Amino acid sequence: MSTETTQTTDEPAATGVEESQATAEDAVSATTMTLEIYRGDDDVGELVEYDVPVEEGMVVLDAIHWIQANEEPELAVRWNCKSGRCGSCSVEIDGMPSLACMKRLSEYDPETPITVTPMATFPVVKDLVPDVSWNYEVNETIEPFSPAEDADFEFYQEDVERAREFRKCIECFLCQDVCHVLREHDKKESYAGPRYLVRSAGLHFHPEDTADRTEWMKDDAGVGFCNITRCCSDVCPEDIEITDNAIIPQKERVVDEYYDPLRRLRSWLSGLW
Amino acid sequence: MEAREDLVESSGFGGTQRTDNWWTHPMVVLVGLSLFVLYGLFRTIYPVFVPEEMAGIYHESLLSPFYSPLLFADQAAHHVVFGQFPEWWPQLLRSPAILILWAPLGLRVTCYYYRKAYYRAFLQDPTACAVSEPRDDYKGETGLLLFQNVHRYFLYLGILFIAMLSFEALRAMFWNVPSGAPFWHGDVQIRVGTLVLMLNVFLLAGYTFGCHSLRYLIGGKKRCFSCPANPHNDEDGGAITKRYSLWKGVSKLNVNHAIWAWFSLFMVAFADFYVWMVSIGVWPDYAVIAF
Repeated sequence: MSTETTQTTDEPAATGVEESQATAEDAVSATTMTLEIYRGDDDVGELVEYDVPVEEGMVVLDAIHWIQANEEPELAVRWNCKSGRCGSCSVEIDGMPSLACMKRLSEYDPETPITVTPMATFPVVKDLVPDVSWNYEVNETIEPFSPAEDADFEFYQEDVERAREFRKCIECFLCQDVCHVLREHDKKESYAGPRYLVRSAGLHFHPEDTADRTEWMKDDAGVGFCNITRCCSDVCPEDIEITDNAIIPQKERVVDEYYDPLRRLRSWLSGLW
Repeated sequence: MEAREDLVESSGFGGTQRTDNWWTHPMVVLVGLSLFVLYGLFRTIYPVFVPEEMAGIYHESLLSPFYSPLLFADQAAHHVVFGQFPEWWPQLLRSPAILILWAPLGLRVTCYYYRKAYYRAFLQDPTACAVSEPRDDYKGETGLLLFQNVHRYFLYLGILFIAMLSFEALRAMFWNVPSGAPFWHGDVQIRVGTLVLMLNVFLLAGYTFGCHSLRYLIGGKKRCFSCPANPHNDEDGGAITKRYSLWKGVSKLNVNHAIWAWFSLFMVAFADFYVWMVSIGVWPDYAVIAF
């Protein structure tokens, strides 16, 4: 990157040495950004500053890789595809859950350090690497896809599209991280989190699925703990409408089964004869 | 080295590492909803303390949406459904709004959009994403807030209100109605007040028919819109059904549910204010088209 300097006639002319020094300093400040990265484990740690030379198009993960390669080989970060497909590099950048590979450095103020910390909802293994194994334990509790024996797998594109939205999930767990029920109140024993309400919706809205997960939804997944503040939808890198398309329909299904007095009366009456 | 929870989790109300203006949105919602609630409360109790002709409830063919349907009114007006308030009715409750406003209020309080809005702005549950909250205890909508599940019943009432407000907007096209005659015997005029009431119904309908519960009930509950073999879909199948079209229609409104919610909220207050101002002679109600 070149830096152009302009002199006015009011200013004394700089010597050649001074001019070249000023130009080099300008070039460094214009192409360097500071990252404050969490270094530590689940109990203690610190935010360590690193100055990273910036090139056009760099993302936050590139900056972390530069630090690994040039200053801190032991800096731990989880990553894989570097193209927003694998969901591995989930961190918090300036406090917002984000994929490090999808956030360009040019989005941030170059004069202010960028803070990069691990996902707050999960225990930290080391530096930016969280232990997300709890999520897989929740996943095990969901009844899998259950088609009828004589299922007909021909259906219209419109039906495919509705279920497909939920299958875009890359399991980055940003929604689990930002969900205040898990993050702030640590209700991991009572609430499955948005990721698994999405998975349940993906199964339920498969046209040939026959399983009834309503009881699981109410009692095990704890859908009632969600107060639909939509942070999960806001951070989803796949733009899944988690709240509108996955959570609210399942809340309504629970209302159907448990909290709609007229439906319960109709079920009770139909059971009489 | 510091404890991780102090360093990273930014605990304590408002604690966060976010550097953007995360407080702006809840602040705007807080102010907007508070202003509406204060205005609504004032207009609800205002008729108790002033003569009916000064209360801004109606003006000739215009009826304010805050008092529509007008179940009781002390003075004769052709909007009234049942006539005068019963004599035993307490003086402090002699406002027609008290009798009806609970229904649209209930629709909005239990609305999935407004829940987000006031959980964030008023209860700080959370104030914004990834921002710490003031309270540790949390039950979500499993405890006291279980009542939110009654939303679909307020939706049914809301649809009824759309029908009644549409009728009042239609009636606002007929003016100079002879005493004792049906409203359609009046002169047909489109006045500014008529357009205000029509726009109010349009926005309220856009809000009501984009409701999440309606989206579920009208088709979202179906697992499949096209497959006959699935026992969950025994009544229709084999082709994309009309319910799919209805579901798509409601979904289109639902995408902008928050926008409909705010515009309709502003408009219903403005429509009331317009009728009030016209009824006390502050604003003229110009005829736009007269036949």
